[in-house]
Amino acid sequence: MNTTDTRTVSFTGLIRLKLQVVNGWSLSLLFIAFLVAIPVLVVFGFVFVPTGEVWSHLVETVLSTYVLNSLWLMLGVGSGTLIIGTGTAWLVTMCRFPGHRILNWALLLPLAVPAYVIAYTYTGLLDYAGPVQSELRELFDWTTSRDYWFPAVRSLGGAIAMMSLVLYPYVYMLARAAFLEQSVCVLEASRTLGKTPFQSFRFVALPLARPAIAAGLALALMETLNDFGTVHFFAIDTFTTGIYRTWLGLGEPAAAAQLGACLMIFITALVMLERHSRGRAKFHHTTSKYRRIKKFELRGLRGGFALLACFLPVFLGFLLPAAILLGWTIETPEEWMNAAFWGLAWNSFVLAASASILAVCVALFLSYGVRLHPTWLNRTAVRAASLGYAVPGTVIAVGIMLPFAWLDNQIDAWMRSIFGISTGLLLTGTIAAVVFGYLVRFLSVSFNTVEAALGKVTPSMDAAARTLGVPPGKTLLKVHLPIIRGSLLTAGVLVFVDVMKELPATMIMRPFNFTTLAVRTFELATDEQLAEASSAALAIVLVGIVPVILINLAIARSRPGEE
Amino acid sequence: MGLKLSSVSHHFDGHLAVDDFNLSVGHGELVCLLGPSGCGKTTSLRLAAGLEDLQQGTISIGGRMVADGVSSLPPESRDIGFLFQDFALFPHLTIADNVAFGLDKMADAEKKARVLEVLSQVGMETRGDSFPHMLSGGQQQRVALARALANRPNLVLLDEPFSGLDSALRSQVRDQTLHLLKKSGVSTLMVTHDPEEAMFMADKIALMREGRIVQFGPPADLYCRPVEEFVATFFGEVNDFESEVGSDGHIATPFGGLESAGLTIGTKVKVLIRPEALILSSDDSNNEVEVMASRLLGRSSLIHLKGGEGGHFHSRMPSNFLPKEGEKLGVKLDLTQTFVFPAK
Ligand SMILES: Nc1ncnc2c1ncn2[C@@H]1O[C@H](COP(=O)(O)OP(=O)(O)OP(=O)(O)O)[C@@H](O)[C@H]1O
Ligand SMILES: [Mg+2]
Repeated sequence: MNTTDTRTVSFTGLIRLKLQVVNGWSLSLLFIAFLVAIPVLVVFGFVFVPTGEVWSHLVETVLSTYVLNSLWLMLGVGSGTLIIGTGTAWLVTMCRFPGHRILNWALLLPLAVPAYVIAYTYTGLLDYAGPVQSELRELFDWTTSRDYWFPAVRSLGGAIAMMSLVLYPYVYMLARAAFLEQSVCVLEASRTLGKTPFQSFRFVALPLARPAIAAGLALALMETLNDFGTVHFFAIDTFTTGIYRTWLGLGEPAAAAQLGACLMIFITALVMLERHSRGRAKFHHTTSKYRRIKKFELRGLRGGFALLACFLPVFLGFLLPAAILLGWTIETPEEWMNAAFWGLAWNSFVLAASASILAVCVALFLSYGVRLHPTWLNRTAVRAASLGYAVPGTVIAVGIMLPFAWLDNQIDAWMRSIFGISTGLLLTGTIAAVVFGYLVRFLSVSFNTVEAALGKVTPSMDAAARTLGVPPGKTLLKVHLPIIRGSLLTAGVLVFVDVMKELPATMIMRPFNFTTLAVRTFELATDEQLAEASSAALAIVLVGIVPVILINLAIARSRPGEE
Repeated sequence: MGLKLSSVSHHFDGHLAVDDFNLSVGHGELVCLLGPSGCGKTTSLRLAAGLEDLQQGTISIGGRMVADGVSSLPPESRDIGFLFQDFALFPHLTIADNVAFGLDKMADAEKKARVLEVLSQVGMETRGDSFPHMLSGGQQQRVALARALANRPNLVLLDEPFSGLDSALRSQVRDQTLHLLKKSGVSTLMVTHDPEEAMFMADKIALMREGRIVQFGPPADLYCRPVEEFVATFFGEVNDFESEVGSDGHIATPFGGLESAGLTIGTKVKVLIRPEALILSSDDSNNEVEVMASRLLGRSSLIHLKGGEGGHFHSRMPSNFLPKEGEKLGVKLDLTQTFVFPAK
């Protein structure tokens, strides 16, 4: 009797397993997740494709340079963002000094400036021909560059400085949130146990905030590895430029994909590190009571130092470059007071708008699907689909172009053999392909936002709607959508701005003769027409301020106790 | 028949939360599912609602089979009302829209009339245009109840519907809810972990432990005729001690011998005596006990007694009965509240 029982259990269990996969939501979810994961899978797949000589040629000649340069860059930008981000976060959350309230949000502003834009700006400012060196030469009667020493902007060090200046806000943002979250009680306990404020920071606050800081650092480093515009402009050979060159210069897609795979293995390690630290972050909240932080008063010289320490990153990372761009834009009205410029802006807008709408819809579909059917398979699929943010744009471009070109060839051959018509390239080099690339890369941005918002709608809302006779799809429309409307908008804006700034994937995948603001900036800057590039760059920066405002509003809303 | 669960079992990752569960709720009957935390009450309720996929067994609602372990009706097709612990009112809809949420199939005028009708049944007809966050906890509970009843479901399921309310409000809302459910004549299954609440609300109580029903019947049955020790102790504090069936066929206690109820001589037994079954008086001198302390608890007094060899008992006497420490009193045993079970 017992045996029959067990058999019934496992039999119905089997049917249930099948039902789980077969239901419509899960099936579409798996399909979409698979589609989005294709580029990454393709790139990894190329690890197994023999490329023989090209690869050994790469290994012999440039690979070590790529690896070394990328490593130095990561080390430099890592330390830079860590010091600036953590230091300023501590000062603004724990201390009171002149201007701390404004700096609290202003410190996020450099987030609006893409690394390549700040690189062009400073090059224009500090290069041999730039105003600073010219002024110095005039002042001291130097004639050539041999008469004096001046740090070279276009160098590894320069690239590190540029990227640190615009990427530190990732660390700042998460570190600040972590410091605010910490119960003031632990810090006070540390003080009563005889530690100075600095020692409390060093031995209590910093270790507690470590997972958050690590997460911010991981984001900054991913952006570093993703960067193409800066390193290309500074002529520093990294993985990203290497992939670009192997693909377009050498015409070796397989080798490019393999370089991409190397890079991704590297990034996977980073992501795992970040996940690991985030896992521990769960144990963070030791108390649910929120106590307003009693800020430490910094007066006189110390206040001045704090102000300077927090103001410099904002000044160098945002105010100065923005002012220079504005100046150049005013000097070059012919660049933007014409239809061509607004055509570029329109192109950027169309791409960004369609990508963000698509990304939000897909994110909504995926996160709601997992909420309905939180099976292991669905959760894994969705996680795989939102890995794109960790994958550099160049790699994604390669991962999309290869299968699309293959598909185009297949369709073309098939159509020719059956109907005698050549269809040419249907997918490759179309707007659709570009938008798909953005979806792959930025899906996780919208997904995280949407998922967090859905998480705040209690599951009993779903259950209530269902028991009241409303099926799942309609529940999404009638209950969830109205509740999370605001977050959907935020998610859309975040993706919009990321697309506006995106350079490498756009460069590789864009249709022939199709140019966006970012591409235009890059092209003009590469031609050394830095002033002419300024209007497009400024437009990107201005749009980039929107999410900074959004993030500030969100933080302000979630922390009622913070002044 | 309002609801029938037959041989239902349910496990979460190998952990058996509901184990061979059988329960029926008659038409118009109010049944309470009672049990300690984590015993599977919520899971049973969610299975009945279809919010959890049935793994084994069958479920029928209003005589219609809704799940048999292979195929199952989704919750929206089961014709039920569910009242959630956190009420789950939709924050973006007004009270009236919340109540009208499930009334899609009605014409507008009919819908409006029905919304007004149920809202006035719970005394909330004037708040139709308010939003949920503008209501107090008790008001939200009433709206949620109105919403669950609006579509005239076959069955209403309530998951700890009063636990979100403070104690003063709770008894009042409990009373209103009971009368409304009884008046609408709907079959109801309600989950609670409070035995007093269960006795207050229920026509029948199903007491659960570790995924199984231990006893099912009218509240008086469970209170006065518990089938095992767990049932007796769940409904309140008891004095317990071990004893055995003596050679005279009686069970010795400090308060006199008890009938052995068919147990063989020498059987080890557990004796359970509710505090109110130890009735103290100064004139009865058959069984004498010594008072250790006495306290007034409001409606009753609790007297700590020394009895037998180092035994310590509690007696609960009505109103203000406060004998002095060290006083010797006679005790009489109320046999309807004294239970004997074979020891394990
Ligand atoms: N979604 C789930 N995943 C895994 N285990 C679960 C899940 N829901 C419930 N359980 C487990 O099943 C058992 C029964 O849970 P259930 O919520 O039904 O208890 P309950 O009687 O309602 O308890 P309480 O009175 O605390 O609400 C518990 O051991 C619980 O840990
Ligand atoms: Mg429960």
